Amino acid sequence: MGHRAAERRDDGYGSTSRTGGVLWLWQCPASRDVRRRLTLLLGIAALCAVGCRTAPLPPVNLKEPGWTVRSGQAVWHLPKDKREIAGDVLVATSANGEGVVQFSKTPFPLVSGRITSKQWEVEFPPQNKHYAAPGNPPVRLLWLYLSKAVSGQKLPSKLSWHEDANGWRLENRGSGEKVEGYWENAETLKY
Amino acid sequence: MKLRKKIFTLLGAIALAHVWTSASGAELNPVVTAWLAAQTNIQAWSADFIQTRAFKSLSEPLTATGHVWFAAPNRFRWEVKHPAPTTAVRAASELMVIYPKLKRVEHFPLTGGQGGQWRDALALLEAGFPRSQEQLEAQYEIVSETVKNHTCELVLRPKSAAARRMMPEIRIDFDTKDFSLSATELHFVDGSTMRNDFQNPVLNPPIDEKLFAPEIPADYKSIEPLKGEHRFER
Repeated sequence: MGHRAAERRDDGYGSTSRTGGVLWLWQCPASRDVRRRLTLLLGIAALCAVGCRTAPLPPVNLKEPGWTVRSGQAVWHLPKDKREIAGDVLVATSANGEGVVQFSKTPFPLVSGRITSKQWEVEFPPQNKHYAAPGNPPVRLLWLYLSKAVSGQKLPSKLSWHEDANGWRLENRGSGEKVEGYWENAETLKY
Repeated sequence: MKLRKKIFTLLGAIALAHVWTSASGAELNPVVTAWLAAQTNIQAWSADFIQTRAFKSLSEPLTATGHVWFAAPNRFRWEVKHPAPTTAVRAASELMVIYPKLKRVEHFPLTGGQGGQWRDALALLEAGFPRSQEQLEAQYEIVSETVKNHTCELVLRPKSAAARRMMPEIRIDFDTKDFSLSATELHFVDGSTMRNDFQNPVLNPPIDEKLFAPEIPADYKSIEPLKGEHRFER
């Protein structure tokens, strides 16, 4: 494959480089097969990259030093349809910003979530749904912000946190979704 | 060839001697048949329990303690006392879950034409107290029956597809000497489990009917979460 003289044009592939070699590769009909293979390879590489970043988080040992565990009960108020359900809640936070949240209508698990400084994952077992991604979770996954809230981390502007002797409340002011409850172990347990 | 056939036959016999696998309607292990027959003598039962919950995200399980009462044919009352008090009462046609500290009671109707994943799964909470083989097999497929030392473990799969989507498996352990219930273990679709180990059982104790008809204080909020079956997710 040779090189053509550089052409400065936007060919829709986002490249306006003067080098031309790559442009020729995309444009040449004879290289359609090569183009397809490159696209496939790039797609696989992207999937691998995303997959690597959102690999399942390993189980946490809350008895290891550095974890603070709070357990209690809460009511989950869903937005829009105003439905609500009560259950048992456990939130664990670590000194390095990791968090675990479990909300169950014992014996049925309803929400199970983990968050680290780099990724998050959440599961809704009754619906058999699992979501995970790098970075911070969307605010609509309110439960994932509970561990950040109890550990005093900064929350997105849409969320509000309140805690006093009578209980606590985490609310998404935009959607109206909130979780509120109390901690059974008023003194946080440190393992 | 003859030797290979003999080996396979022997292996099959050994396997059968340890594990009886029963399909619906097929012969049950005589121990299980005897246990089911003994259930008809149980009009009431109560015990302490240690509840152990294992989650995929946690390497160590969580534990709770409480007490359970059962009254034939299908009423029960589970009181979790520690760490957070909750009482679940199965009355004739509904399940009530009471959260004293939240001042709240939730009602889950168990009858009515409408099925649903939640209702079917809640109906399985009375596992451990079947009245007959027919009743057991009406709700469950018996996957396996294993006897080890003096304990028989029954592995059951709910026949309701809706319930299986939440709770694909239930295990029941009973003592083969006196047929008392030793433990139940629920397996959930997310890989978590809940096991109840029973202690200090009392067979046919006098039961106060008020246990299954609790008075709800006037200042409690009463909710029916399943009204218009919905999804708890975001």
